[in-house]
Amino acid sequence: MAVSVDEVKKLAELSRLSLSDQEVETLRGELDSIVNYIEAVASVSLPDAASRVPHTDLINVLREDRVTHESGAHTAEITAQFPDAEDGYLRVKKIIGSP
Amino acid sequence: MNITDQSAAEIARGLRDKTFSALEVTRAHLARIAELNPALNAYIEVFADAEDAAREADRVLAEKGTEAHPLCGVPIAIKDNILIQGKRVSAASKMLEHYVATYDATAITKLRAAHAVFLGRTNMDEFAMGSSTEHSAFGPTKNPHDETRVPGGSSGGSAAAVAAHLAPLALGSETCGSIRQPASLCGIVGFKPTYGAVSRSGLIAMGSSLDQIGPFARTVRDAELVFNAIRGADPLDGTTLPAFDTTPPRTKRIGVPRAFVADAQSETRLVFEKKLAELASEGYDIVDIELESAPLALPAYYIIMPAEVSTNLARLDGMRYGLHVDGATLREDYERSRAAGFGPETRRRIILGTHVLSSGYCDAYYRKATVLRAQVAADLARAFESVSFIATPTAPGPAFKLGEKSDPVSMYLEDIFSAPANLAGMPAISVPMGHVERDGVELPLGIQFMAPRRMDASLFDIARAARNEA
Repeated sequence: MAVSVDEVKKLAELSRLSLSDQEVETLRGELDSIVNYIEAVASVSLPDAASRVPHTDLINVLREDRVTHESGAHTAEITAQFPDAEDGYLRVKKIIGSP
Repeated sequence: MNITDQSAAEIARGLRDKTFSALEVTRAHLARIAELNPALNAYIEVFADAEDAAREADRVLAEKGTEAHPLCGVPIAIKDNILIQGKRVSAASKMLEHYVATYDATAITKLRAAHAVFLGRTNMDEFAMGSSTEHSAFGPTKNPHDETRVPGGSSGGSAAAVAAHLAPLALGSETCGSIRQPASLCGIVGFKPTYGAVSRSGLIAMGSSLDQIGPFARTVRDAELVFNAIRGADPLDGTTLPAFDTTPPRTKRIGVPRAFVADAQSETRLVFEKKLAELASEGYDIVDIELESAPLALPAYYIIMPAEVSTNLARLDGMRYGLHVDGATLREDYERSRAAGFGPETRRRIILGTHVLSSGYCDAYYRKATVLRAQVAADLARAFESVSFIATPTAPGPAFKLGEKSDPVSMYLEDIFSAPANLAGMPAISVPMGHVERDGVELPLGIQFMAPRRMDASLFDIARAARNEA
Protein backbone atom coordinates (compact mmCIF):
# COMPACT_ATOMS: atom_id res chain seq x y z
CA MET A 1 0.00 0.00 0.00
CA ALA A 2 1.69 3.20 -1.18
CA VAL A 3 -0.66 5.62 0.59
CA SER A 4 -2.53 4.87 3.84
CA VAL A 5 -6.06 5.91 4.77
CA ASP A 6 -4.63 8.31 7.35
CA GLU A 7 -2.36 9.88 4.75
CA VAL A 8 -5.31 10.43 2.39
CA LYS A 9 -7.25 12.05 5.24
CA LYS A 10 -4.27 14.30 5.97
CA LEU A 11 -3.91 15.22 2.29
CA ALA A 12 -7.65 16.01 2.08
CA GLU A 13 -7.27 18.26 5.11
CA LEU A 14 -4.28 20.06 3.55
CA SER A 15 -6.26 20.39 0.28
CA ARG A 16 -9.35 21.75 2.11
CA LEU A 17 -11.59 19.00 0.75
CA SER A 18 -14.19 17.36 2.96
CA LEU A 19 -14.41 13.70 1.96
CA SER A 20 -16.64 10.90 3.21
CA ASP A 21 -15.00 7.70 4.50
CA GLN A 22 -16.16 5.97 1.32
CA GLU A 23 -14.50 8.66 -0.83
CA VAL A 24 -11.29 8.39 1.19
CA GLU A 25 -11.21 4.63 0.63
CA THR A 26 -11.86 4.96 -3.12
CA LEU A 27 -9.18 7.63 -3.44
CA ARG A 28 -6.71 5.52 -1.50
CA GLY A 29 -7.09 2.67 -3.99
CA GLU A 30 -6.77 5.00 -6.98
CA LEU A 31 -3.76 6.80 -5.53
CA ASP A 32 -2.12 3.41 -5.02
CA SER A 33 -2.17 2.66 -8.73
CA ILE A 34 -1.19 6.24 -9.70
CA VAL A 35 1.69 6.39 -7.22
CA ASN A 36 2.79 2.99 -8.47
CA TYR A 37 2.89 4.47 -11.98
CA ILE A 38 4.86 7.60 -11.09
CA GLU A 39 7.24 5.50 -8.99
CA ALA A 40 9.17 5.01 -12.26
CA VAL A 41 10.39 8.60 -11.80
CA ALA A 42 11.42 8.21 -8.17
CA SER A 43 13.38 5.04 -8.97
CA VAL A 44 15.27 6.37 -12.02
CA SER A 45 18.96 6.97 -11.41
CA LEU A 46 20.33 10.07 -13.06
CA PRO A 47 23.92 10.98 -13.84
CA ASP A 48 25.37 13.53 -11.40
CA ALA A 49 25.67 16.29 -13.96
CA ALA A 50 22.04 15.98 -14.94
CA SER A 51 20.78 15.80 -11.37
CA ARG A 52 22.16 19.29 -10.76
CA VAL A 53 20.04 20.72 -13.57
CA PRO A 54 16.88 21.86 -11.82
CA HIS A 55 14.73 22.58 -14.83
CA THR A 56 14.61 23.60 -18.44
CA ASP A 57 15.82 27.11 -19.30
CA LEU A 58 13.67 29.27 -17.05
CA ILE A 59 14.32 32.96 -16.54
CA ASN A 60 12.52 35.57 -14.49
CA VAL A 61 10.49 38.04 -16.53
CA LEU A 62 10.17 41.37 -14.75
CA ARG A 63 8.23 44.50 -15.60
CA GLU A 64 7.34 47.78 -13.97
CA ASP A 65 4.16 47.67 -11.94
CA ARG A 66 1.70 50.13 -13.40
CA VAL A 67 -1.97 50.98 -13.20
CA THR A 68 -3.73 50.00 -16.42
CA HIS A 69 -7.27 51.12 -15.72
CA GLU A 70 -9.22 53.64 -13.70
CA SER A 71 -9.90 52.81 -10.09
CA GLY A 72 -13.26 51.07 -9.78
CA ALA A 73 -13.61 50.34 -13.50
CA HIS A 74 -14.27 46.62 -12.91
CA THR A 75 -15.56 46.72 -9.35
CA ALA A 76 -19.22 46.18 -10.22
CA GLU A 77 -18.63 43.03 -12.34
CA ILE A 78 -16.28 41.52 -9.79
CA THR A 79 -18.36 42.23 -6.69
CA ALA A 80 -21.46 40.94 -8.50
CA GLN A 81 -19.96 37.45 -8.20
CA PHE A 82 -19.52 37.54 -4.42
CA PRO A 83 -21.48 34.67 -2.86
CA ASP A 84 -22.37 36.97 0.02
CA ALA A 85 -22.02 40.75 0.19
CA GLU A 86 -23.04 43.72 2.24
CA ASP A 87 -22.75 47.33 1.02
CA GLY A 88 -20.35 46.20 -1.72
CA TYR A 89 -18.12 44.35 0.73
CA LEU A 90 -17.48 40.61 0.70
CA ARG A 91 -19.02 39.00 3.78
CA VAL A 92 -17.11 36.06 5.31
CA LYS A 93 -17.29 34.27 8.64
CA LYS A 94 -15.63 35.70 11.71
CA ILE A 95 -12.10 34.30 11.98
CA ILE A 96 -10.53 36.44 14.69
CA GLY A 97 -11.02 34.88 18.07
CA SER A 98 -12.26 31.57 16.67
CA PRO A 99 -10.20 28.42 17.29
CA MET B 1 -22.89 23.17 -51.89
CA ASN B 2 -23.35 23.20 -48.13
CA ILE B 3 -21.87 26.13 -46.19
CA THR B 4 -21.04 23.93 -43.16
CA ASP B 5 -18.87 21.69 -45.37
CA GLN B 6 -16.55 24.59 -46.19
CA SER B 7 -13.21 25.32 -44.61
CA ALA B 8 -12.53 28.71 -43.01
CA ALA B 9 -10.44 29.72 -46.04
CA GLU B 10 -13.30 28.76 -48.38
CA ILE B 11 -15.79 30.69 -46.23
CA ALA B 12 -13.47 33.73 -46.33
CA ARG B 13 -13.42 33.49 -50.14
CA GLY B 14 -17.21 33.07 -50.33
CA LEU B 15 -17.73 36.14 -48.15
CA ARG B 16 -15.50 38.22 -50.44
CA ASP B 17 -17.17 36.84 -53.60
CA LYS B 18 -20.55 37.58 -51.96
CA THR B 19 -21.57 33.94 -52.52
CA PHE B 20 -23.05 34.20 -49.03
CA SER B 21 -23.05 36.64 -46.10
CA ALA B 22 -21.49 36.16 -42.66
CA LEU B 23 -25.01 36.06 -41.26
CA GLU B 24 -25.91 33.17 -43.59
CA VAL B 25 -22.71 31.35 -42.59
CA THR B 26 -23.45 31.73 -38.88
CA ARG B 27 -27.12 30.76 -39.33
CA ALA B 28 -26.10 27.62 -41.26
CA HIS B 29 -23.85 26.56 -38.39
CA LEU B 30 -26.45 27.43 -35.73
CA ALA B 31 -29.02 25.31 -37.60
CA ARG B 32 -26.64 22.36 -37.69
CA ILE B 33 -25.84 22.81 -34.00
CA ALA B 34 -29.57 22.78 -33.19
CA GLU B 35 -29.89 19.54 -35.15
CA LEU B 36 -26.82 17.62 -33.94
CA ASN B 37 -25.71 19.07 -30.60
CA PRO B 38 -28.44 17.43 -28.48
CA ALA B 39 -26.89 14.03 -29.32
CA LEU B 40 -23.21 15.09 -29.38
CA ASN B 41 -23.12 17.57 -26.45
CA ALA B 42 -20.16 19.35 -28.04
CA TYR B 43 -21.39 22.79 -26.96
CA ILE B 44 -22.29 23.62 -23.38
CA GLU B 45 -23.82 26.92 -24.51
CA VAL B 46 -24.57 28.52 -27.87
CA PHE B 47 -24.23 32.30 -27.74
CA ALA B 48 -27.46 34.21 -28.31
CA ASP B 49 -25.52 37.14 -29.81
CA ALA B 50 -23.70 35.12 -32.51
CA GLU B 51 -26.00 36.53 -35.21
CA ASP B 52 -25.31 40.09 -34.02
CA ALA B 53 -21.57 39.45 -34.33
CA ALA B 54 -22.14 38.05 -37.84
CA ARG B 55 -24.09 41.18 -38.87
CA GLU B 56 -21.24 43.32 -37.58
CA ALA B 57 -18.78 41.20 -39.61
CA ASP B 58 -20.93 41.77 -42.72
CA ARG B 59 -20.73 45.50 -42.10
CA VAL B 60 -16.92 45.30 -41.79
CA LEU B 61 -16.71 43.17 -44.96
CA ALA B 62 -18.82 45.70 -46.87
CA GLU B 63 -16.54 48.50 -45.70
CA LYS B 64 -13.13 46.86 -46.00
CA GLY B 65 -13.71 44.26 -48.73
CA THR B 66 -10.56 42.25 -49.40
CA GLU B 67 -8.72 44.26 -46.69
CA ALA B 68 -10.83 42.58 -44.00
CA HIS B 69 -9.08 39.99 -41.80
CA PRO B 70 -9.22 36.45 -43.25
CA LEU B 71 -11.22 35.35 -40.19
CA CYS B 72 -13.76 38.21 -40.50
CA GLY B 73 -17.23 36.61 -40.39
CA VAL B 74 -15.84 33.10 -39.88
CA PRO B 75 -17.50 31.24 -36.99
CA ILE B 76 -15.36 29.72 -34.26
CA ALA B 77 -16.17 27.61 -31.19
CA ILE B 78 -14.38 28.40 -27.91
CA LYS B 79 -13.35 25.92 -25.22
CA ASP B 80 -15.12 26.59 -21.93
CA ASN B 81 -11.91 27.58 -20.13
CA ILE B 82 -11.18 30.69 -22.25
CA LEU B 83 -12.71 33.94 -21.00
CA ILE B 84 -15.11 36.01 -23.09
CA GLN B 85 -16.20 39.13 -21.25
CA GLY B 86 -19.81 38.99 -20.08
CA LYS B 87 -20.21 35.29 -20.93
CA ARG B 88 -20.28 32.37 -18.57
CA VAL B 89 -17.09 30.33 -18.44
CA SER B 90 -17.17 27.26 -16.23
CA ALA B 91 -14.19 25.02 -17.16
CA ALA B 92 -17.01 22.40 -17.24
CA SER B 93 -17.07 22.49 -13.43
CA LYS B 94 -19.89 22.88 -10.92
CA MET B 95 -17.42 25.14 -9.11
CA LEU B 96 -17.70 27.82 -11.83
CA GLU B 97 -21.11 26.91 -13.29
CA HIS B 98 -22.49 30.44 -12.89
CA TYR B 99 -19.21 32.37 -13.19
CA VAL B 100 -19.27 35.26 -15.67
CA ALA B 101 -15.98 36.37 -17.25
CA THR B 102 -15.02 39.92 -16.32
CA TYR B 103 -12.56 40.37 -19.21
CA ASP B 104 -11.57 38.91 -22.59
CA ALA B 105 -8.70 36.46 -22.88
CA THR B 106 -5.98 37.91 -25.12
CA ALA B 107 -6.70 35.24 -27.77
CA ILE B 108 -10.35 36.40 -27.71
CA THR B 109 -9.33 40.09 -27.97
CA LYS B 110 -7.35 39.22 -31.10
CA LEU B 111 -10.16 37.16 -32.67
CA ARG B 112 -12.65 39.91 -31.81
CA ALA B 113 -10.44 42.46 -33.58
CA ALA B 114 -10.50 40.15 -36.61
CA HIS B 115 -14.34 40.04 -36.36
CA ALA B 116 -14.46 36.25 -36.07
CA VAL B 117 -17.88 35.09 -34.81
CA PHE B 118 -17.97 33.23 -31.47
CA LEU B 119 -20.61 30.50 -31.80
CA GLY B 120 -20.53 29.15 -28.27
CA ARG B 121 -18.48 27.51 -25.56
CA THR B 122 -17.51 23.87 -25.90
CA ASN B 123 -17.50 20.98 -23.49
CA MET B 124 -14.30 19.68 -21.89
CA ASP B 125 -13.01 17.59 -19.04
CA GLU B 126 -13.39 19.57 -15.81
CA PHE B 127 -10.57 22.12 -15.52
CA ALA B 128 -9.01 20.45 -18.61
CA MET B 129 -8.17 17.29 -16.67
CA GLY B 130 -8.86 14.21 -18.73
CA SER B 131 -8.55 12.52 -22.11
CA SER B 132 -12.17 11.71 -22.92
CA THR B 133 -14.40 14.69 -21.95
CA GLU B 134 -16.20 12.25 -19.62
CA HIS B 135 -15.02 14.31 -16.63
CA SER B 136 -17.26 17.25 -17.58
CA ALA B 137 -19.80 18.25 -14.92
CA PHE B 138 -22.27 18.71 -17.79
CA GLY B 139 -22.18 15.22 -19.29
CA PRO B 140 -19.77 13.67 -21.80
CA THR B 141 -19.35 14.71 -25.43
CA LYS B 142 -19.83 11.94 -28.01
CA ASN B 143 -17.51 11.19 -30.90
CA PRO B 144 -19.21 12.20 -34.19
CA HIS B 145 -17.78 9.08 -35.91
CA ASP B 146 -19.43 6.76 -33.36
CA GLU B 147 -21.62 8.14 -30.59
CA THR B 148 -20.82 5.20 -28.30
CA ARG B 149 -17.21 6.44 -28.23
CA VAL B 150 -15.41 9.39 -26.64
CA PRO B 151 -14.06 12.35 -28.66
CA GLY B 152 -10.85 12.42 -26.61
CA GLY B 153 -10.01 15.25 -24.27
CA SER B 154 -9.74 17.46 -22.57
CA SER B 155 -10.79 19.69 -25.52
CA GLY B 156 -13.30 17.04 -26.70
CA GLY B 157 -16.16 19.48 -27.29
CA SER B 158 -14.04 21.67 -29.58
CA ALA B 159 -12.77 18.63 -31.52
CA ALA B 160 -16.24 17.10 -31.90
CA ALA B 161 -17.72 20.46 -32.96
CA VAL B 162 -15.20 20.85 -35.79
CA ALA B 163 -15.38 17.17 -36.82
CA ALA B 164 -19.21 17.28 -36.97
CA HIS B 165 -19.14 20.57 -38.93
CA LEU B 166 -20.77 22.47 -36.05
CA ALA B 167 -17.97 25.01 -36.57
CA PRO B 168 -15.16 25.27 -39.11
CA LEU B 169 -12.72 26.27 -36.35
CA ALA B 170 -12.32 25.98 -32.61
CA LEU B 171 -9.95 27.03 -29.86
CA GLY B 172 -8.72 24.43 -27.42
CA SER B 173 -6.00 24.28 -24.82
CA GLU B 174 -3.26 21.81 -24.02
CA THR B 175 -1.44 20.95 -20.88
CA CYS B 176 -0.52 17.50 -22.16
CA GLY B 177 -2.19 16.32 -25.37
CA SER B 178 -5.56 18.01 -24.82
CA ILE B 179 -5.61 19.39 -28.38
CA ARG B 180 -3.69 16.70 -30.28
CA GLN B 181 -5.32 13.60 -28.81
CA PRO B 182 -8.96 14.70 -29.43
CA ALA B 183 -7.91 15.89 -32.92
CA SER B 184 -6.58 12.37 -33.54
CA LEU B 185 -9.71 10.65 -32.17
CA CYS B 186 -12.05 12.94 -34.16
CA GLY B 187 -10.08 12.91 -37.44
CA ILE B 188 -9.17 16.59 -37.66
CA VAL B 189 -6.12 18.88 -37.36
CA GLY B 190 -4.97 20.03 -33.89
CA PHE B 191 -1.97 22.22 -33.19
CA LYS B 192 -0.09 22.79 -29.91
CA PRO B 193 2.12 25.88 -30.39
CA THR B 194 5.54 26.51 -28.86
CA TYR B 195 5.12 27.30 -25.13
CA GLY B 196 4.85 31.09 -25.02
CA ALA B 197 3.75 31.58 -28.64
CA VAL B 198 0.15 32.31 -27.62
CA SER B 199 -0.82 34.34 -24.55
CA ARG B 200 -2.60 32.50 -21.76
CA SER B 201 -4.08 35.65 -20.27
CA GLY B 202 -7.73 34.70 -19.73
CA LEU B 203 -7.16 30.95 -19.93
CA ILE B 204 -8.26 29.26 -16.69
CA ALA B 205 -4.95 27.92 -15.41
CA MET B 206 -4.28 24.22 -14.93
CA GLY B 207 -0.51 23.55 -15.11
CA SER B 208 1.04 26.93 -15.74
CA SER B 209 4.47 25.70 -16.88
CA LEU B 210 2.69 23.65 -19.57
CA ASP B 211 -0.62 25.33 -20.55
CA GLN B 212 -0.96 26.61 -24.11
CA ILE B 213 -3.93 27.65 -26.29
CA GLY B 214 -4.14 26.26 -29.82
CA PRO B 215 -6.49 25.73 -32.79
CA PHE B 216 -8.62 22.91 -34.20
CA ALA B 217 -9.59 22.88 -37.89
CA ARG B 218 -10.38 20.48 -40.72
CA THR B 219 -7.47 21.73 -42.86
CA VAL B 220 -3.87 22.56 -41.98
CA ARG B 221 -4.27 25.94 -43.65
CA ASP B 222 -7.18 26.85 -41.39
CA ALA B 223 -5.25 25.84 -38.25
CA GLU B 224 -2.39 28.06 -39.43
CA LEU B 225 -4.80 30.97 -40.03
CA VAL B 226 -6.05 30.80 -36.44
CA PHE B 227 -2.57 30.39 -34.98
CA ASN B 228 -1.35 33.46 -36.86
CA ALA B 229 -4.35 35.43 -35.59
CA ILE B 230 -3.88 34.58 -31.89
CA ARG B 231 -0.08 34.41 -31.49
CA GLY B 232 2.19 37.15 -30.21
CA ALA B 233 3.87 38.67 -27.15
CA ASP B 234 1.49 39.96 -24.49
CA PRO B 235 2.33 42.12 -21.47
CA LEU B 236 -0.48 40.30 -19.64
CA ASP B 237 1.38 36.96 -19.90
CA GLY B 238 5.03 37.17 -18.86
CA THR B 239 5.76 33.79 -20.44
CA THR B 240 4.92 34.92 -23.98
CA LEU B 241 7.87 35.00 -26.35
CA PRO B 242 8.94 38.04 -28.37
CA ALA B 243 7.77 37.87 -31.98
CA PHE B 244 9.64 35.19 -33.89
CA ASP B 245 9.84 33.92 -37.45
CA THR B 246 10.43 30.29 -38.20
CA THR B 247 13.59 29.61 -40.18
CA PRO B 248 13.18 27.03 -42.95
CA PRO B 249 14.03 23.54 -41.64
CA ARG B 250 17.56 22.47 -42.55
CA THR B 251 16.60 19.03 -43.79
CA LYS B 252 13.63 16.92 -44.84
CA ARG B 253 14.66 14.32 -42.29
CA ILE B 254 12.00 12.83 -39.99
CA GLY B 255 13.19 10.99 -36.88
CA VAL B 256 11.11 8.08 -35.61
CA PRO B 257 11.73 6.89 -32.02
CA ARG B 258 10.77 3.26 -32.79
CA ALA B 259 11.31 1.88 -29.28
CA PHE B 260 8.88 4.54 -27.96
CA VAL B 261 6.36 4.02 -30.79
CA ALA B 262 6.19 0.32 -29.83
CA ASP B 263 3.78 1.42 -27.05
CA ALA B 264 1.07 2.09 -29.68
CA GLN B 265 -1.50 -0.56 -30.65
CA SER B 266 -0.28 -2.80 -33.50
CA GLU B 267 -2.90 -1.56 -36.01
CA THR B 268 -1.98 2.04 -35.18
CA ARG B 269 1.68 1.23 -35.92
CA LEU B 270 0.74 -0.28 -39.31
CA VAL B 271 -1.20 2.84 -40.35
CA PHE B 272 1.69 4.99 -39.05
CA GLU B 273 4.30 3.06 -41.08
CA LYS B 274 2.14 3.40 -44.21
CA LYS B 275 1.98 7.18 -43.75
CA LEU B 276 5.76 7.32 -43.22
CA ALA B 277 6.26 5.36 -46.45
CA GLU B 278 4.09 7.91 -48.28
CA LEU B 279 6.19 10.76 -46.87
CA ALA B 280 9.35 8.92 -47.95
CA SER B 281 7.98 8.73 -51.50
CA GLU B 282 7.48 12.52 -51.36
CA GLY B 283 11.18 13.08 -50.64
CA TYR B 284 11.32 12.95 -46.85
CA ASP B 285 14.08 10.86 -45.21
CA ILE B 286 12.77 8.62 -42.48
CA VAL B 287 15.46 7.73 -39.91
CA ASP B 288 15.42 5.84 -36.61
CA ILE B 289 16.29 7.86 -33.51
CA GLU B 290 16.79 7.09 -29.83
CA LEU B 291 14.76 9.01 -27.26
CA GLU B 292 15.73 7.16 -24.15
CA SER B 293 13.90 9.38 -21.65
CA ALA B 294 10.68 9.68 -23.70
CA PRO B 295 8.79 6.85 -21.92
CA LEU B 296 9.47 8.62 -18.60
CA ALA B 297 7.96 11.90 -19.82
CA LEU B 298 4.40 10.89 -18.91
CA PRO B 299 5.10 9.69 -15.34
CA ALA B 300 7.17 12.88 -14.81
CA TYR B 301 4.23 14.87 -16.16
CA TYR B 302 1.94 13.13 -13.65
CA ILE B 303 4.08 14.63 -10.88
CA ILE B 304 4.68 18.13 -12.29
CA MET B 305 1.10 18.74 -13.46
CA PRO B 306 -0.75 17.71 -10.25
CA ALA B 307 1.75 19.79 -8.24
CA GLU B 308 0.78 22.82 -10.33
CA VAL B 309 -2.93 21.89 -10.27
CA SER B 310 -3.06 21.66 -6.48
CA THR B 311 -1.48 25.12 -6.34
CA ASN B 312 -3.52 26.78 -9.12
CA LEU B 313 -6.87 25.46 -7.89
CA ALA B 314 -6.24 26.58 -4.30
CA ARG B 315 -7.80 29.92 -5.25
CA LEU B 316 -11.16 28.24 -5.79
CA ASP B 317 -12.37 28.37 -2.22
CA GLY B 318 -15.98 29.54 -2.55
CA MET B 319 -15.18 32.96 -1.11
CA ARG B 320 -15.05 35.63 -3.79
CA TYR B 321 -16.69 33.80 -6.71
CA GLY B 322 -17.85 30.34 -7.69
CA LEU B 323 -19.81 27.76 -5.74
CA HIS B 324 -20.23 28.49 -2.04
CA VAL B 325 -21.49 25.87 0.41
CA ASP B 326 -21.95 27.15 3.91
CA GLY B 327 -20.40 25.38 6.91
CA ALA B 328 -20.14 26.09 10.64
CA THR B 329 -16.68 27.70 10.34
CA LEU B 330 -14.67 29.43 7.64
CA ARG B 331 -12.60 26.28 7.25
CA GLU B 332 -15.75 24.24 6.76
CA ASP B 333 -16.89 26.75 4.14
CA TYR B 334 -13.70 26.00 2.21
CA GLU B 335 -13.89 22.25 2.62
CA ARG B 336 -17.56 21.93 1.71
CA SER B 337 -17.42 24.35 -1.22
CA ARG B 338 -14.44 22.55 -2.72
CA ALA B 339 -15.89 19.07 -2.13
CA ALA B 340 -19.18 20.08 -3.75
CA GLY B 341 -17.58 22.05 -6.57
CA PHE B 342 -14.86 19.66 -7.76
CA GLY B 343 -15.53 16.36 -9.54
CA PRO B 344 -13.65 13.09 -8.87
CA GLU B 345 -10.73 13.58 -11.31
CA THR B 346 -10.09 17.14 -10.13
CA ARG B 347 -10.06 15.98 -6.51
CA ARG B 348 -7.72 13.10 -7.38
CA ARG B 349 -5.22 15.46 -8.97
CA ILE B 350 -5.41 18.00 -6.14
CA ILE B 351 -4.75 15.22 -3.60
CA LEU B 352 -1.98 13.73 -5.77
CA GLY B 353 -0.36 17.16 -6.20
CA THR B 354 -0.50 17.78 -2.48
CA HIS B 355 1.11 14.35 -1.95
CA VAL B 356 4.05 14.85 -4.35
CA LEU B 357 4.75 18.29 -2.85
CA SER B 358 4.45 17.23 0.78
CA SER B 359 7.40 17.13 3.13
CA GLY B 360 9.33 13.87 2.74
CA TYR B 361 8.09 13.20 -0.81
CA CYS B 362 9.05 16.41 -2.58
CA ASP B 363 12.65 15.36 -3.29
CA ALA B 364 11.72 11.86 -4.44
CA TYR B 365 8.93 13.03 -6.74
CA TYR B 366 8.75 16.70 -7.64
CA ARG B 367 12.45 17.55 -7.76
CA LYS B 368 13.27 14.31 -9.56
CA ALA B 369 10.51 15.01 -12.09
CA THR B 370 11.86 18.49 -12.86
CA VAL B 371 15.31 16.99 -13.47
CA LEU B 372 13.77 14.37 -15.75
CA ARG B 373 11.95 17.15 -17.53
CA ALA B 374 15.30 18.75 -18.33
CA GLN B 375 16.55 15.34 -19.47
CA VAL B 376 13.60 14.88 -21.85
CA ALA B 377 14.25 18.35 -23.31
CA ALA B 378 17.98 17.56 -23.67
CA ASP B 379 17.26 14.22 -25.41
CA LEU B 380 14.88 15.95 -27.82
CA ALA B 381 17.42 18.72 -28.50
CA ARG B 382 20.07 16.10 -29.27
CA ALA B 383 17.70 14.30 -31.65
CA PHE B 384 16.94 17.57 -33.43
CA GLU B 385 20.65 18.02 -34.22
CA SER B 386 20.24 15.36 -36.91
CA VAL B 387 16.54 15.56 -37.86
CA SER B 388 14.10 18.42 -38.47
CA PHE B 389 10.97 16.60 -37.31
CA ILE B 390 10.07 13.78 -34.95
CA ALA B 391 7.02 11.69 -35.80
CA THR B 392 4.91 9.33 -33.66
CA PRO B 393 1.28 8.25 -33.68
CA THR B 394 -0.64 10.96 -31.78
CA ALA B 395 -2.39 8.47 -29.48
CA PRO B 396 -1.91 4.73 -28.90
CA GLY B 397 -5.21 3.84 -30.59
CA PRO B 398 -8.52 5.14 -31.96
CA ALA B 399 -11.47 6.54 -29.98
CA PHE B 400 -12.44 4.21 -27.11
CA LYS B 401 -15.88 3.45 -25.70
CA LEU B 402 -17.51 5.74 -23.16
CA GLY B 403 -16.76 4.29 -19.72
CA GLU B 404 -14.05 1.98 -21.08
CA LYS B 405 -11.13 3.59 -19.24
CA SER B 406 -12.51 3.88 -15.72
CA ASP B 407 -9.10 3.19 -14.19
CA PRO B 408 -7.29 6.57 -13.97
CA VAL B 409 -3.87 5.27 -15.12
CA SER B 410 -5.31 3.62 -18.26
CA MET B 411 -6.78 7.04 -19.17
CA TYR B 412 -3.48 8.82 -18.45
CA LEU B 413 -1.68 6.52 -20.91
CA GLU B 414 -3.64 8.12 -23.79
CA ASP B 415 -1.10 10.96 -23.58
CA ILE B 416 2.07 8.86 -23.65
CA PHE B 417 3.19 10.34 -27.01
CA SER B 418 2.03 13.87 -26.18
CA ALA B 419 4.06 14.37 -23.00
CA PRO B 420 7.58 14.98 -24.42
CA ALA B 421 6.53 18.07 -26.46
CA ASN B 422 4.64 19.58 -23.51
CA LEU B 423 7.46 19.04 -21.01
CA ALA B 424 9.98 20.55 -23.45
CA GLY B 425 7.70 23.41 -24.60
CA MET B 426 8.03 22.32 -28.21
CA PRO B 427 5.36 22.76 -30.89
CA ALA B 428 3.54 19.69 -32.21
CA ILE B 429 0.72 19.06 -34.65
CA SER B 430 -1.66 16.15 -35.16
CA VAL B 431 -3.18 15.43 -38.58
CA PRO B 432 -5.29 12.46 -39.72
CA MET B 433 -3.15 9.57 -41.07
CA GLY B 434 -5.75 6.87 -41.76
CA HIS B 435 -8.43 4.68 -40.22
CA VAL B 436 -8.94 1.46 -38.35
CA GLU B 437 -12.21 -0.43 -38.16
CA ARG B 438 -13.95 -1.12 -34.83
CA ASP B 439 -17.43 -2.73 -34.68
CA GLY B 440 -17.90 -2.01 -38.38
CA VAL B 441 -17.12 1.71 -38.00
CA GLU B 442 -14.13 3.45 -39.57
CA LEU B 443 -12.34 5.36 -36.80
CA PRO B 444 -9.69 7.99 -37.53
CA LEU B 445 -6.10 7.93 -36.30
CA GLY B 446 -3.69 10.85 -36.18
CA ILE B 447 0.05 11.24 -36.76
CA GLN B 448 1.92 13.87 -34.77
CA PHE B 449 4.98 15.82 -35.81
CA MET B 450 7.16 17.65 -33.29
CA ALA B 451 9.71 20.36 -34.05
CA PRO B 452 12.14 22.48 -32.01
CA ARG B 453 10.79 25.54 -30.26
CA ARG B 454 9.88 28.44 -32.56
CA MET B 455 9.71 26.08 -35.56
CA ASP B 456 5.90 26.21 -35.54
CA ALA B 457 5.58 27.20 -39.20
CA SER B 458 7.67 24.23 -40.36
CA LEU B 459 5.05 21.93 -38.79
CA PHE B 460 2.33 23.37 -41.01
CA ASP B 461 4.46 22.56 -44.07
CA ILE B 462 5.07 18.93 -43.13
CA ALA B 463 1.43 18.57 -42.01
CA ARG B 464 0.31 19.81 -45.45
CA ALA B 465 2.62 17.25 -47.08
CA ALA B 466 1.14 14.51 -44.89
CA ARG B 467 -2.39 15.60 -45.87
CA ASN B 468 -1.59 16.23 -49.57
CA GLU B 469 -2.95 19.74 -49.00
CA ALA B 470 -1.88 22.34 -51.55
